[in-house]
Amino acid sequence: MSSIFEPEVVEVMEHSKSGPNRIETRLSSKEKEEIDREFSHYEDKASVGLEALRIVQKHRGWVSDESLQAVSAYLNIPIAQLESVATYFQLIFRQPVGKEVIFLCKSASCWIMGCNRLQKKIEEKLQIKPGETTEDGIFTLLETPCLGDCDRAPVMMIGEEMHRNLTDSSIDEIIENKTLYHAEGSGHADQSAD
Amino acid sequence: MPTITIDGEQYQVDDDQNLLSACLAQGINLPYFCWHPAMGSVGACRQCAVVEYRDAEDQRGRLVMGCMTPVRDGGIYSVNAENAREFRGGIIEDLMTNHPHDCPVCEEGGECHLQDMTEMTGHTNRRYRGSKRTHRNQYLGPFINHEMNRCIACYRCTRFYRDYAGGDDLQPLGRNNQVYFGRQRDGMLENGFSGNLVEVCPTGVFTDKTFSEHFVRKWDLQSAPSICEHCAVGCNTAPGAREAGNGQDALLRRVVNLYNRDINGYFLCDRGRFGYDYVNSDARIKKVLAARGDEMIGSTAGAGDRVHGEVHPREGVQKFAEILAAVQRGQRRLIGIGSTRSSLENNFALRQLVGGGNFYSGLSARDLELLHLVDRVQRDDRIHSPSTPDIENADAILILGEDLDNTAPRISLAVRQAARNRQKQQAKKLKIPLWQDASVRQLRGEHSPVFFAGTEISGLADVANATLFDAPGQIALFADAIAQLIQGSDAAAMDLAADRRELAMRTADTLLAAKNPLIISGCSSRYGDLIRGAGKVATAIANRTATNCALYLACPEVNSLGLAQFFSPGRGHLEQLTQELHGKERDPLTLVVLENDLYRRADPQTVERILSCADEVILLDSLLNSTVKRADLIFPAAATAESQGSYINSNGQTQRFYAVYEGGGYIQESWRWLADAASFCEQITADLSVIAAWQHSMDLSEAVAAEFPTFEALEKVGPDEDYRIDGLKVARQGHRYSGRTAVRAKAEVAEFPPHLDPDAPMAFSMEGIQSPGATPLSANIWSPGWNSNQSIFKFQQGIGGARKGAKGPFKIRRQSQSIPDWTISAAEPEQDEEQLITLPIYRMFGSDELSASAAAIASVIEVPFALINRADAERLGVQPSQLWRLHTDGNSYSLRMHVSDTQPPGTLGVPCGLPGLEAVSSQLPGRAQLKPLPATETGETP
Amino acid sequence: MLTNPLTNPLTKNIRGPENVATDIARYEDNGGYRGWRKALQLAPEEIVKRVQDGGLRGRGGAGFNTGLKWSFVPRGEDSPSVKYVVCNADEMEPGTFKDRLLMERDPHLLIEGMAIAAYAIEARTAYIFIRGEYALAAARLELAIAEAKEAGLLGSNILGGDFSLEVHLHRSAGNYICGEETALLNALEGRRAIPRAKPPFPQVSGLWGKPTVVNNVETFCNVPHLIEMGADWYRGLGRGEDAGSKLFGVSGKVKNPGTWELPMGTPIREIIEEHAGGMQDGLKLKGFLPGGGSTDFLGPQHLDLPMDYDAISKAGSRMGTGTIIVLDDHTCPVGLVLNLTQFFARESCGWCTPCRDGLPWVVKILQRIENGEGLPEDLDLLREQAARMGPGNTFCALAPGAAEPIQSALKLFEQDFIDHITKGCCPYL
Ligand SMILES: Cc1cc2nc3c(=O)[nH]c(=O)nc-3n(C[C@H](O)[C@H](O)[C@H](O)COP(=O)(O)O)c2cc1C
Ligand code: SF4
Ligand code: FES
Repeated sequence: MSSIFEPEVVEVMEHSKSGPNRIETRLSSKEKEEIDREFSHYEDKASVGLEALRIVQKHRGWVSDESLQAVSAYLNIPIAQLESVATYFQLIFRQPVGKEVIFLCKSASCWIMGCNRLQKKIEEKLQIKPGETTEDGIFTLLETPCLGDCDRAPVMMIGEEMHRNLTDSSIDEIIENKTLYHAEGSGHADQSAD
Repeated sequence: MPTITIDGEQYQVDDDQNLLSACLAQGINLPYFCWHPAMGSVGACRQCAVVEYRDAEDQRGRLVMGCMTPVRDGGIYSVNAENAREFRGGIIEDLMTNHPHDCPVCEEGGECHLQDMTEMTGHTNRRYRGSKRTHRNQYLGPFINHEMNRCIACYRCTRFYRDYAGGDDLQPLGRNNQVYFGRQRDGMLENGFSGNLVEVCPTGVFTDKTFSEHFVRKWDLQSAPSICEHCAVGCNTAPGAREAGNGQDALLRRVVNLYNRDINGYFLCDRGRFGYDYVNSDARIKKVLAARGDEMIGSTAGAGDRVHGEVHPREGVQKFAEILAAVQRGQRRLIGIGSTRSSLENNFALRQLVGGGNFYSGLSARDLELLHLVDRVQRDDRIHSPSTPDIENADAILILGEDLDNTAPRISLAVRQAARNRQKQQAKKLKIPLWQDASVRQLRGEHSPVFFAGTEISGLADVANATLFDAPGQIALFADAIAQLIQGSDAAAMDLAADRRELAMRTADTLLAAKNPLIISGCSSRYGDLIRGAGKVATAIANRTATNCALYLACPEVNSLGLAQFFSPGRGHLEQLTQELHGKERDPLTLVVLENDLYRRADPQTVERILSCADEVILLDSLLNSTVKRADLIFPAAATAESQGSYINSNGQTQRFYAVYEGGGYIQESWRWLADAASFCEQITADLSVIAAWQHSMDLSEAVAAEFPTFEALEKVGPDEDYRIDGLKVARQGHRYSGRTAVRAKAEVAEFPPHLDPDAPMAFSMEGIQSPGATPLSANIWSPGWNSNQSIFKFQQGIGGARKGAKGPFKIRRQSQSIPDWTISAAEPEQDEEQLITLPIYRMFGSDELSASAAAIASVIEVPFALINRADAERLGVQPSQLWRLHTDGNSYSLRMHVSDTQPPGTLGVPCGLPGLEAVSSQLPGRAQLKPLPATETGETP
Repeated sequence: MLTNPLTNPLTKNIRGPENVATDIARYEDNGGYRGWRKALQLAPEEIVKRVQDGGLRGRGGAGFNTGLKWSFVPRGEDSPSVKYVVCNADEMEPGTFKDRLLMERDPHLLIEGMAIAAYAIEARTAYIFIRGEYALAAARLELAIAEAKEAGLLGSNILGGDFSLEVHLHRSAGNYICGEETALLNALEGRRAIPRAKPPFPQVSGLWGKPTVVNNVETFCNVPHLIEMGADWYRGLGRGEDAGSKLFGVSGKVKNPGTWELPMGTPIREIIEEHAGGMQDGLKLKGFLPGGGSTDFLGPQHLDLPMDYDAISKAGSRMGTGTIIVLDDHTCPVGLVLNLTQFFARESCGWCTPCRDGLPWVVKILQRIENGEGLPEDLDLLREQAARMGPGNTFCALAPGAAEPIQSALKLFEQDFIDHITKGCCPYL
């Protein structure tokens, strides 16, 4: 039985000035290539850090500790500095997300047009709250600030694809289509998995 | 000087500053958080709001942030305006919405800037009804606690750690009111100045973990001005002590910074802050110990090791007195060995006791020569030893062979600031005030030139514009080349590799073009020509520019330069002592060793040779060390915080430290043991009677000054014990000191009189002078309404100015003397396939003898290791982290190998003084052979 | 959508759902890059003067004279050799949907405007800082940049002359504060998007410490025709005090929400009732935010104001981005203010106290009121908080913007707040 009076388990850290043990993770050559291309656009390497995180996220879906370390090593930017930036920007995901990230606009116009109701609908349908991912790993629901399509509110973006003038029924349709798509797609994935 | 009006009063204020610092300098209480006197303004907390009026007609004015508003001549402002006060109260109310109000259990309580500012703004009623957000805390190592829920997001921590100290593992994370100040993951803070977070953080997020273990409120700490004894920079500290209760001895609880404009300013290094704990260590000598007749038997015991038993001090002193009596009768010889980590007073006392001719430095010939070289160079009028602000002002710096972060940390921090001078120039051009910290830092561009040439650069690599890694001999040649170039020699004629010549030319040109060039070198490479080379570069610059040139020469220990003054060049080293001892028909001999572990000074064989000549060894020291094993009589010596005395820092500055508390057990200053022994002699000569008559520390200070004109300042650095202000001594305890009787009640209910202090015009009690700024003798940095260390401005002449009432700096007086035209030649030992050249390297934690015994520091000291060049590693088949065996003359050590890209080829970097490597340290630089460990010994687990 | 180039220079290439000129050939056929070619014949100072005389005011929200802004960039021998032009395409203000339209539908117009600006301040590198969510706009801009380069209109030695210019697209990674121009510069430098102290202004020390001009998408889009047709013509486009035309939008429960290019100074009533078709059946207009989520509410009594910077200011609000959010009488004003404040609290950069700690507090109070748990003194607390976030009290303009709907709602809809408290629930539910 766990009790609050149980002694806290304190992880013993290595007291070393040479930093934490580096986990050996590498960037793919594709990622490196894309990062390298950014160098010429900026005055210094440190400025590419955020871009590099975006690139890594594009390929891997999210930025894991290992990815963070790989970028840190490749760009020679201290890992804490990268983390500082990574945790600042909401579109950098430091946790795994589903294959489809639903960005539901929660700003004023969409609110007036009923986004809260739609949110409940999505939450019930997928059984997740904002910030969570469905058990099958397909959907992640996120609330997002104004998507700049207020005249067609309420709106949401799935991946990079806009869905406008949402209604209860259009939501059903969109989600079902996506679910179907991934159900088909996953068969392929299974075969090709090594 | 602009004149401004604040709330109807006119003030003359300094130019080029912001309204907040102008107000504070005038003694006006204006609350603030994010501003820091050494770090400037960023306008984040919005706490320092005041009203600025357009002109005399303007009745409404507008709110401005004091820290972001330049003072304007004729400007009209109000601190007390209703809306400004309301706004400031509101800011605190906002800040407190997430604060846990856990002051009773917070180490910061009672010296918390947040508490002070909350009081000052008058926020007393909580209207916030919501829940508070909570954070997880991180493990940050053995020095610093982390309690993020107390955070008010002033950003000072990361501004100090990252911007000011160059650390890159503490960052703001997240955003909005979720911002979190921490590391990417749990782990020890890597920067060697992390301890300053404790003082920089205005609330209890970052607190001193070593203090937490036995913390008391600031008002219950007894304090006095002290000097950090862990390197030769001479930072000023305010250690705090308090009785443990139940009649137990007082305990030294912590060290905080004590502002000294010329040396440490607002900041200390972690060795200085956390090293204090050695005084509380288990290895502390508190009793008088005498060797018993039996010899030590055991696998680890060497021949001649003694077994000790406690004796009554009277008995010990009696024994010592008997020896002195025999000496007086001419039946015994007495030889004294002094110490670079003991005060001038103690060294002088021993010298008096044994006689100048029998007094030795305890240093090897090489080490003593280095100090004499430093002294020699500093005597040249064309050179000046720069203060820390001078260093921060330098616009071109050449560092020769000194890994400052590990050998003179506070100086390293100053160099880091100097590297920003180019940026500051640019800011001036753009009319950006220098206190606009973020705006100045956003100007990119190159650092001011910092050139480094040496074996290892630990902390400053990111600000060094050019680095040259080589053995000291080559660096000395490089320095010589720069000196010659500056004097106008033809570069083409020089025997230098092309890239090195190019670098030398660039360095020479840059130094010559600079307004405030600075050369830094020192003793750590243990290579005299390096100091000579540094001297030559500096004098060459001085010759060309006709102004004197700044040269900082780092010495190894807190009183190295002071001790060296007792000896004329070529005299007083251990080699000479060995010769003396062996050359003569000998009388029975007693060796008195003052606060010195000889095994750190010479190889074990040499020490053995010396000790075996002595019939008795008397040791006065604070910690059990290797020499203890050979001592017949051991007296417990007071540590710095327990005693009064004077040290001479690397710059030749004389500084006095005062006892913070009385050491426990029978601890007293070494000189007192000597005086006691003298007074126990039944018949005493005139010489001895002088010693027996010493009663006050100042008696010695005065005697030193009288005997050695070099130290004449000793009489001036502080008043003697009879000094009074308004008839009162200066109180070491704050006037809120509590439980004076209760703290001992379990042992004794009687009111104890305070310890008497025969040495200083200060009392070990709360009675006495308390007022801020009355005298620099006060180390209780407190002022009404300002309980935290932020109150230091009340003790300063202007913001960032010298301490009120401070005199000096007092440099030792030396005959000026131009340095000779030294020739520097390649005296590098020849390359040898078999052997590697061992070079000394240093670590902030471990290289210093005393701090290595502080528990927290001991826990982070690396295991014995060596740095090897990558190519050498490949050649020899060394894998990273492998254990190898290092063979020197007759000794061997196992070392974990670190492969390095900068370690000069053919050399091995061996950390000086690291526990386990003390004995090899004295032989660096030297030669040694590296051999693989037999498989059975590697101790490696698969 | 009207498409007369003489009255609708911003949207002349946008015809209803059709994209007239997303490729360079059609853009040039329709008169594109004429402003750029003309600019290259002029002295840079002359361009700055023309833009200043034309009276073009920044469309990003603050309405500062664009030419005047450019004139602060140091010029001449002594000035830094590297300078930058940056387009602020971070559009994230609640209720704002104009820059997306321009970038998706007419990307070359923006590039042309930026090129002229770069030439005017002698910058050789320009960045488009676009919010990460705008994928289509980013793709189209990227293509357009490549096309323009291919055509010799960007790149080195443009049109055979001395001037060279590289334009880079930077996709951001979220956060409203990135729209604040100095926070944007930090983000572009790969740092946390915390605003910078001003002075120094970006024109003096901006991107990587170099002189930098930051303008809004729409602002740049005004430049080509201003240069081509001249300052007088441009000024004549406006109907009232202010010069030029502007994209106005309406969202909320109106019949026909959308965006239209209209002369500056078009009355609000005309925009809402004619262009947006008036309120949906059965609803009445209760109030509106004239220029996005960070402007003060106005009420029905303000419908006849012209959309001019000064006129809206006098009425106690701001023109902001010119995109109107309409509040109807069936929607809870407390809920709307709560929604807006939640947005601002979440988007606060976390640097200064009134915003970082004040806004979450306001959110909690509003939540309580909305849930029927409010206390009468909460209203004073809200007013106090809003005042604390006033202009100059915080480090940047985010918090003052956040305070605007709060403070104005407390004035305009005070009774609604009181009703929530006295009834102990939201009367709109
Ligand atoms: C919190 C905040 C967000 C802003 N967001 C934007 C934005 O998304 N787009 C924009 O053009 N301007 C934005 N601005 C205004 C910019 O700071 C800046 O004034 C503008 O880009 C200047 O361009 P202009 O002169 O062309 O209007 C924002 C300002 C603030 C304080
Ligand atoms: S008002 Fe302050 S905390 Fe808010 S976004 Fe601006 S700088 Fe950041
Ligand atoms: S001290 Fe002035 S804003 Fe923080």
